[in-house]
Amino acid sequence: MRQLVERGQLLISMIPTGLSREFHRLEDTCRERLGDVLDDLNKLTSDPRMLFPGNQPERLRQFKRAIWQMDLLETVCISALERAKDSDKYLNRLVERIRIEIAYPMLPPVVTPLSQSYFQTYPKFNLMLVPLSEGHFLLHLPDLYHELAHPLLMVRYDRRVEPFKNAFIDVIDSVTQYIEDELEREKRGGGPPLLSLYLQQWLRYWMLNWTTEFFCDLFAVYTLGPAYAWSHLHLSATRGGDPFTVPTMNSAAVTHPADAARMAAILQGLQLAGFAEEATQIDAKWADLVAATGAAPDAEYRRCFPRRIIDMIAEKVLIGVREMKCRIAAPDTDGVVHRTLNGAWIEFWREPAAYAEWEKATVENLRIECAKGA
Amino acid sequence: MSQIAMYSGIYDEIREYAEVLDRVLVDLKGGTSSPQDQNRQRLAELLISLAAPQAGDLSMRLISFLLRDDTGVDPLELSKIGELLRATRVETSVIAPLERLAQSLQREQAVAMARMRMRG
Repeated sequence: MRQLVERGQLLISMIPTGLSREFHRLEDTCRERLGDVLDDLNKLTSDPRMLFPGNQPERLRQFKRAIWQMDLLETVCISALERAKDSDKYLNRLVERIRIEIAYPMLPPVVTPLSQSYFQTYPKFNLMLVPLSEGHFLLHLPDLYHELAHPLLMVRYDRRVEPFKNAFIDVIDSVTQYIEDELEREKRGGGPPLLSLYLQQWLRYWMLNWTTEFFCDLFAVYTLGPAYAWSHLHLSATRGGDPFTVPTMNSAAVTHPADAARMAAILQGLQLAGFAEEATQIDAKWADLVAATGAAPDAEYRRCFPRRIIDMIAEKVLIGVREMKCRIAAPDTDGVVHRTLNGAWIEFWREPAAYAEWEKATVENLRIECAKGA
Repeated sequence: MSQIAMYSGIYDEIREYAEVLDRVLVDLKGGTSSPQDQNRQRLAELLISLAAPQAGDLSMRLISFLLRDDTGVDPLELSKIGELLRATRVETSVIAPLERLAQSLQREQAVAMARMRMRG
């Protein structure tokens, strides 16, 4: 235990000083959380109640939690602070600008470009990691909007965010009901036991991560518009596999729903937000991509991601985002980041060969815009 | 969101209630627990929600889901304990089922941590 206290103190001393103000909140979070861990560890050695033989199971569990918490702080937060650079200011200013444009109801997360695994967010630390070079390009920055939705689902006691969380609860209740009905049907019909196992596995994914990912996709669609759909199409084309894949017994753990199901929800969201024309264009490109992969939906896919559930999610999220008083993107929405990210995709398709040059100049302009008022 | 980030979220959700449960257990064993204690009230709410999986906030629903196939956890028994914790002095007989719940939460946290280290 004393060794762990030593390690915690070392980690606190490793928090770099003199970081720019964009990182002050993360620095504060690190210090506070590490302080809490050290308080807990000290309590485990000095509180007479924790030395009582009957309390040893609680003591051991608390000790393990302290270690896990310290591991997370070290590998995620301290690493982010250690590698924070002045160039990271741009991404933080960009996210701050997005926050203002979309009337995001919370403080923005701290952004650092050290992700080894695409965009990702640690909601409890309010920390977003993005790939190293992402700040130099535009086409995948729409994913920032997706990531911004993750912390919303973990906020407690904030009435502004309740509509979004209530929509989430409605969806997981409906999905649970759907899967339970399917399980009952299997039971009555005496189908192969494997199908019941699939259904149980899918419910677990829906509960633990898929619903969250659909919500974040749709939050991005409703607050940014078509650029998010284009970005998802591009990501699926460049990094995706079979867009209709659903987990079966032998497949590895997955974090996201099938790309095709995500695209169906995204396109439905675009329709609901008034981007019918753009939805049609993107749908046509998506159909080309699917045809090129040679993949097709099978019965499992349709059962795992029924269309009526996808449509219901799109409707519920729209209500949640609207009632959270975030700005819903519409064809006439303005704002420098909104205009730039949607414009980038228009430019990309209009003149692909000249896009790289256009992008370079536009990123520079965006940097200047974001620096204003910083 | 990556697997690490996702499981860190799940881990955090469980951790909060695991902390609360261990604090209440220490108080119960020491005879210092009171129904007015905030941790005890939060725990009572979680226990009651276990018997009604489509109730409670998001964290409670997640925990309820994760524990639903755990044979060491009896939601009806825990729900009754939840009611008792809310209202009155409780017998030491509630400690054993609460210990089992604490062990189950511990296992779920360990699973989440193991998956975070799995990267991918």
